[in-house]
Amino acid sequence: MNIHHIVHVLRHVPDPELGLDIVTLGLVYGIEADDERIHVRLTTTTPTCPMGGAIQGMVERALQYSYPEHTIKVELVSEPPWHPEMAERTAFARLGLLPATR
Amino acid sequence: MAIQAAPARSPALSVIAPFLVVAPLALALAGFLLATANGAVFVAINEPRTVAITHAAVIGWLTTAIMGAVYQIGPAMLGGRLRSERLARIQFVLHVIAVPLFVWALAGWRLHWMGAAGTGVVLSFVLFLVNAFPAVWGASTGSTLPRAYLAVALLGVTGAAGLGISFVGDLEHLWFPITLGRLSGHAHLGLVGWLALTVMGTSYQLVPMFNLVRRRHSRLGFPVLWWTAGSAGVFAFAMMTDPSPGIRFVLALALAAGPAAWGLDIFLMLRSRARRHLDIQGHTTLASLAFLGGAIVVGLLAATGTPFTADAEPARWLLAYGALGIAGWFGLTLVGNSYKILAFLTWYHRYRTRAGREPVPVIADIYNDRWAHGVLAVHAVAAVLLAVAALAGQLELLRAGGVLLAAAGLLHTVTLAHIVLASHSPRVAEPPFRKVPAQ
Repeated sequence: MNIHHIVHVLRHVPDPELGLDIVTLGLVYGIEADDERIHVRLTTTTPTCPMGGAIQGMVERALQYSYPEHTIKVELVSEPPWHPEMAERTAFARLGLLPATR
Repeated sequence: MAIQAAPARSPALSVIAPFLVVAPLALALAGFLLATANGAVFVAINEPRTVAITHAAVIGWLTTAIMGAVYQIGPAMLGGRLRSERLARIQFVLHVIAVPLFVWALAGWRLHWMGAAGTGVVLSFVLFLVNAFPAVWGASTGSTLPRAYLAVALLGVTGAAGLGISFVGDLEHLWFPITLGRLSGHAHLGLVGWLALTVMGTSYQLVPMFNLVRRRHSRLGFPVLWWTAGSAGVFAFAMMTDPSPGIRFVLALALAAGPAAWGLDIFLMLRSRARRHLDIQGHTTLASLAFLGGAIVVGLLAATGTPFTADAEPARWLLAYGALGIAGWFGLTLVGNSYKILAFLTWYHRYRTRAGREPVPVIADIYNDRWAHGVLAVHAVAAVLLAVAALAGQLELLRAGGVLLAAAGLLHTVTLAHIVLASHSPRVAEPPFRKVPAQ
């Protein structure tokens, strides 16, 4: 199982509000995969994000499309809480993120 | 710790969108009534035209939009459940029939129609409360702070509507004199107990979410809620006794303290944001905070009474207070939030199931940011003009403010309708907008 390909697939799933993919935003906390199942742990930018369920569904659909034979489990987690510094550096430029020291 | 995903219960777009899209038409009506007002609006706050304008803005525009927003926020963000979507549709029809009729009755001081239409408005409120309360109070997954604000606000609107309908009955049966103090009690129960608490509570939900705020947890949130709700109740009760200007000023000071502390809290939250560039929601929040500051200053000066009402136009300060508070603070907050709430709802219902398999637009593709900022600009200028005109006693300026306010309302309706009705496409063709690759 190629984890890099799973990450590549997840890069096609956007956060609808921020307009960047969930990997670039650092929302994917973990991926476990073998020949039968894929388990993704991800979070949202705020604990009460109303799009949490929608993003969870998008990830499930994207992975199911790419890995139709696998059992897909997508888990939304709140720990550790997401903060902007978890995003990749490209997100800082594209979203105009301010450094944490401000 | 796993998150329980909430928005699977988001109501249908056809339930929520009509509330948000139609509401600004009532602002256009209020603007039209201001544009055709005469000098009497500067003389008495309880003259028919001013009462009609206030109710068009408060129960026609703000409350209609907030009803839609609560129907959405309760299930989608707080994890509650509406009693019935059909009931919400029925309530909408009743509301949009009863409110214009009520405003028309108030403008002409038609007592029998006031009673009939007022009963329709109260019935609409009852249906709203029956439907919305379980969605807010029975919520399970959302933040407790916005939920507490909304739940208390629902009690506030119950009190305001109850007092209001008793006033309508009183006009016909003359049970008791409706003094300016009693009118103020009713008005502030609605303005602070309902609208302000709703605006404050939803801001605690939306401002951190849209602006990636680092200081997410408010230390002031709950103390401000209890202080504001308590002071609004005490203010409304005490004003029924028509207290002296000194006591009135102290009551007003206590009433203003809650929103002022909230404003500071939200401002500090915005300062701790991670997103450098503010969007329409951030800009309207900042602008609305400025209007809140103005409303507090003018409101406190109006509460002192005598020094500012010795001339022949004693209603001017109260009119300016209303323009800053209702059109400025509440109105601008609503403008900003409506574009985001409706865009989210549209995205959720139209693109959620397609996302992850094919390119879909994101929220920024769904509403037109330039038009939204255009509405913000026209609306803000209108509110400033109205306040300045009221303070200066300039009728022509007030009418110009009314024309601008009507234009802002119409433009707001058109741009919100465009969100729902237009087809949207992704603006950029790069990841994550390309088709998902197969293995």
